[in-house]
Amino acid sequence: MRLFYAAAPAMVPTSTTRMATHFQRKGRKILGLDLQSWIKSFFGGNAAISIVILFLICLFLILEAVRFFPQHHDDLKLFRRSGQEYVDHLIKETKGYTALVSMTNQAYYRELDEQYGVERGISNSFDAFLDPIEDEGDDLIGELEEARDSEDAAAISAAEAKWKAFMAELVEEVDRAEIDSFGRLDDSSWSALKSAMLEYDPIEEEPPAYVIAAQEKLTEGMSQFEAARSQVLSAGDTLKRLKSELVKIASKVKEDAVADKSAAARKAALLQGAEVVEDPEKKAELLKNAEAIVIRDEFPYAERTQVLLDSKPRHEEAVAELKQKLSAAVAALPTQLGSPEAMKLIGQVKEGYPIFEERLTRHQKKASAWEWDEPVNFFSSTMRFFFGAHWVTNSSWHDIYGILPLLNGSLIISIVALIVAVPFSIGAAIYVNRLATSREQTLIKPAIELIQAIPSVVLGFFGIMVLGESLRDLSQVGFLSWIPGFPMQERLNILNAGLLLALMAVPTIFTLCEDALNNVPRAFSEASLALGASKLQTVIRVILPAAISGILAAVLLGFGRVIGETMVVLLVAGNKISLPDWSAGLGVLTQPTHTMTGIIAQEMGEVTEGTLHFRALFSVGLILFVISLLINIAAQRIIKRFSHA
Amino acid sequence: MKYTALLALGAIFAGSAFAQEKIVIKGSDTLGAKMVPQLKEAYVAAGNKVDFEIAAEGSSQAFSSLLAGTADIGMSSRDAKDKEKNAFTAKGQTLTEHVAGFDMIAVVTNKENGVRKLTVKQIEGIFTGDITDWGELGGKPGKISAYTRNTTSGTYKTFQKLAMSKRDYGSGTQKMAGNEQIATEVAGNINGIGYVGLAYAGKEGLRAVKVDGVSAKPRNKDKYPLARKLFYYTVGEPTGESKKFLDWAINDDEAKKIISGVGFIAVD
Repeated sequence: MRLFYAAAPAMVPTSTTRMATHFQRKGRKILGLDLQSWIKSFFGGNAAISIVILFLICLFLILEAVRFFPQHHDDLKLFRRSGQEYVDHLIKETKGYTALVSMTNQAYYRELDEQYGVERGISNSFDAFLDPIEDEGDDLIGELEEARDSEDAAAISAAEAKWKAFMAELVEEVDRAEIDSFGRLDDSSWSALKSAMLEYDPIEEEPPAYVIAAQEKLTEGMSQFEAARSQVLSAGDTLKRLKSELVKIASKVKEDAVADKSAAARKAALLQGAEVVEDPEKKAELLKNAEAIVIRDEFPYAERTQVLLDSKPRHEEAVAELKQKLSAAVAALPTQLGSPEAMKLIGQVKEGYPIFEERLTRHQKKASAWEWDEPVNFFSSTMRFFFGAHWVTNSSWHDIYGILPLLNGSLIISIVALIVAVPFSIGAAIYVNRLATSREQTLIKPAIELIQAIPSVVLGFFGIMVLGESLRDLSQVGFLSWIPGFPMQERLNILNAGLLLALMAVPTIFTLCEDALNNVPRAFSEASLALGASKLQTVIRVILPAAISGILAAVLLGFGRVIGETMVVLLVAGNKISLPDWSAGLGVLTQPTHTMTGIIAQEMGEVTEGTLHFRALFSVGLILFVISLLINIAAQRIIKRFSHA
Repeated sequence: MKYTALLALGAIFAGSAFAQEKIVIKGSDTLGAKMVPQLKEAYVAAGNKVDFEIAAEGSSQAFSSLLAGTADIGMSSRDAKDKEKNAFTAKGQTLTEHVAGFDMIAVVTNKENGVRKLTVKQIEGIFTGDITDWGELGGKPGKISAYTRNTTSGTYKTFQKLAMSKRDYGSGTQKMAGNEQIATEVAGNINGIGYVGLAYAGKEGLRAVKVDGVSAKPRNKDKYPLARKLFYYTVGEPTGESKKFLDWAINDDEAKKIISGVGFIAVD
């Protein structure tokens, strides 16, 4: 160092003396550059490094994300070739069917409650009694059993007396709400059940006569409905059996095909291992293992999936059987019922059946058309990612990567957040900038900007523990039940997450809005006031229109802020990966959902680098990135376009 | 990575104190993640002069390492397959099984929810989305909210295997970060249902339902359908330090405390 310093005065720069001279009195040079150039290149270097890093991040993101698509295509190809695609149609067929079964069951039990609520109550309450008996009477049951085994009459009667006393105490002390948890029993049947329980023998485990009578009445009373219901329930048996059988076959084919792909690599590894190993015995074993691995050019899909092809006629028969049996069973379901909800559900089953039948036919046709060697269209496999309505990972059957439910969740939450945040932040900005006294200004502005300082994980915690709980409590207040979605069942939902994100968006939008208002030339407001307009008129008619571009940009950037937020949505959105049920109208807002940011945070920890799942998450990240980029570009465009107008 | 680190650590220990005997334990992640390392700590702290090397990469590793002679004790969360047993037979060895404890998953509902028992079939229906309403299960009508662990969790897969015939979770299920979060959500939602480790089932406001008529209690560990045994395996009868450690890990009261502390059930 000394050397350079010493040498420097000898070469006093001539060209740089023009620039800011007072930094440079000594004019020393280091490595041929003076101090000022060093500082300049230091700052320039910093800027360059951040740009390079940004570029590298983009490159990495894009590289990983883009490689998802060919891999996804391969995966779908394997899905088709292994016959899983064919079997998947059967799975979908049975899914539609189970939905009908579910509705029929709901209707049946509602009707049962309506007609035989008391009998149901007796039967259930008896079951409920067994819990405290088992919990508290365990020792006594043991004693009783021992006494009976000993066949000593005195011991038996003593143990039985003890048992009777225990039961007498139990039925008196037991909490009625705990036993008759659905409140189905009236007072008389409750006391009848209590006295019947005194007869209960814990060793025989036979229900008392009173309970048996109720159970019999239950099964007999609903015989017509029950008959139709059990027909509905059994209509799909053949199809379900076929499905489970084929699922196993197709899974095995897939498993083997995947193993086959790595055969060459495994063989190479074994051979390599054999070369390194010293021990001749081990060497022989490794060589033997390597020998056993057969490398094939092509996995014999045709041969392996022949079973599936052969099952096509059976599948057609099973579908025909389902159609025939189910249509008869649905027609036989009673329409005149005591419970209006049950009638509504049965109506839905009857209306839903033709739709189901249509879908069944569609799937069956597609299944019949399945050929293992039909090529998979690359475009359609790509579209499956962008427009797929399911995201299923870590599946034992087949992973599905469809971004729609996640995109949807992110957008809905962001929109809710904006709807809440925009009026607040614009209002606050106008007030602070135009109407507030300077004392208020110095108080409000930092306070709002301080919100930004709250770590998002803390906000998320607040959302779980406080906001979610109070929202749900509020929604359960009777007179608010007209609000769509109230009373809400889940406390982790779109609304909760949206409100928290609104809080996070407020500082961003507020600050930018305030800047925009500040940028309106003073002459505008002065002219307006001079013309006799009031303060409020000036703000609304003059200032706001003049600042509109900045405000729009602020809203867009606020949107960018919330859509990229991760921690809050991961904790508070409820993590349910499905498209919202729009039939609930605005009530959709009280449903849980999942987001693009949330899924990356949640699943990144488990995936192996380079797998399809890993790259799928990167693709989601890329889409997020593109959205943010577009928002920022749009915001800049808006500012430019309007500011010159 | 973490296994490599463990191995390296094991190697360092082995190098620094090779006068001590070493027990190599390999296999299941379920056992190897918490239970066995904690047992090891306590065992060493109790004054036993022995080194340990623990690697947990999955139950299959237990059998391959035992067969290759690179492990003294194998850990497994399933019993040995016939194919695995045959491999030992072919070498003229026998595989000896020691029950290490039990892993039990409790299905919990809200205490206010009257449904007290479910069959495995019904649980499968609930978590796959076939059953959507409590009315179908004998309860008061209400849409079921099913809470599950998230996909990273080992229990997520175990439950799928034990209760759902390996079918996929329904799209209506909500993925929660851990046992505690599931317990909290179910305790606050009358229509909620979820599954947790036994240690969490006693939380205020929860009820563990009977599955196939069996309640989730430690004494029912043999009958309860959503329980599985955890095993140690050795080649032949264990000897020397391995035997001493296994006897301690299975029978000692302190070991039992550790086992229940990590959410498993110790052998009686």
